[in-house]
Amino acid sequence: MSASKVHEDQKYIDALAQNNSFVIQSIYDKFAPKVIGFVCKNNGDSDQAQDLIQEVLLVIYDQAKTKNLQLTCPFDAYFFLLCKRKWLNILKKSSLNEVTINEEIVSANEPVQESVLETEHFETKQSLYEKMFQNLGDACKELLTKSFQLDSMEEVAKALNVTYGYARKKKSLCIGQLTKMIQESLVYQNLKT
Amino acid sequence: MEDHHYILFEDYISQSLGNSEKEAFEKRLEEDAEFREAFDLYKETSAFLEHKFSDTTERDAFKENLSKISRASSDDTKVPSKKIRLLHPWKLAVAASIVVIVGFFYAQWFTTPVYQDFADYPQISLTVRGDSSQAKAEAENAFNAQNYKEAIPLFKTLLETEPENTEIQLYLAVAFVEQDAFAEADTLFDELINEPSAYLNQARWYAALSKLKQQKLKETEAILRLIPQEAEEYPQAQKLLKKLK
Repeated sequence: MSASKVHEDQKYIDALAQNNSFVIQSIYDKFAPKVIGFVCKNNGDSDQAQDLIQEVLLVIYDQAKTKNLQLTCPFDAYFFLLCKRKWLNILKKSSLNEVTINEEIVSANEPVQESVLETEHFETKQSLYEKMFQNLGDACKELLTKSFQLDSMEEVAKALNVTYGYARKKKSLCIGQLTKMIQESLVYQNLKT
Repeated sequence: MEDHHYILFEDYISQSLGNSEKEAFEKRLEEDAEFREAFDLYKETSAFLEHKFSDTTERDAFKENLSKISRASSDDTKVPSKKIRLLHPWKLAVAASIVVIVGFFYAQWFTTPVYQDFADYPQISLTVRGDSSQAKAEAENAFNAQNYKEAIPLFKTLLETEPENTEIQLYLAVAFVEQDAFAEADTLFDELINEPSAYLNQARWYAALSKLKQQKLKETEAILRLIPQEAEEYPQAQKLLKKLK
């Protein structure tokens, strides 16, 4: 995480994490028109732009919730660049030519670059974790699901009809296995470099 | 990493290690980069699973809220309110007649014409059977008699014993609006219009009226848009929205 100063627009991030309708509405009022304009000018329509905006806000929400996202640049620039790059990637994907767009990122100033890349990394990781989770064996999937849904490992043990000690041990081994699969994946190796 | 490493990670996270084991663990984190990387990933993966499985209701609520606001704002840019009028003509008719009757009845109390058209505060009832609280009865009577100046300190006293009572907070906010104490009113509304409660949409409607009385029309509009279609306040909110355009 960057040691730079947190920008005052962090208020938008915090409000998203709190699901504050009033502020979300103001994000739509202030920042959505620019995104819609961009998408419409680039082979898209306003419905696609709305979907894009929702996707980006959801990633920001997830990042704020799990990684305590700290914004070091204005929300406007950060949000627009995220939407823009995501849209260009969608376009490239639909033309079966998936390339990461780098032209825009270099022209943005450093704190914006940093925040945007951080969020993009987060999103890539999140979908990698999700994919790897689906690759786990059924027993691990069930145990992990219960471990994080139920309040205590005692309850998990009871639900799965195993001993407490076994459930605890199995939980760490399943997470361990998941991390191993993540580490071995090409996506993870690429993120590290 | 071996199996016993993962067991150790979990023990450290769940704070089940003894003091000396914990120290040894932290020392290794500092010195062994590979160990640290594996542990960081373990923590991150746990955080991912936590968010995936335990925060689902919260995340779904956020998603739903997003699509609601998104729909409202895209409807806004297309054809506004026509469709909405067709949905509930009878509700609109009821709201309109109430507004006419109440507007006439309250005419002498208000000076701002637009606010006056829409400010329609029902008779409140704080006392319930078996609860003979004198303080509640007094506050209720003062409010119902539109004696807002007197009602304010009474509500405040009630909130001292029940600070979380959203119903009383709401009536206090209304009383503030009536007394033109907008700063106090809006501070209360700020929380009421965002925190889930039985009075959420009622609060949004009154908060919008507060902004209307202050002639802050953009803010009035923004708050009105938060009122969902299922809400009782939806027809009147749409009517006011239409007038604001």
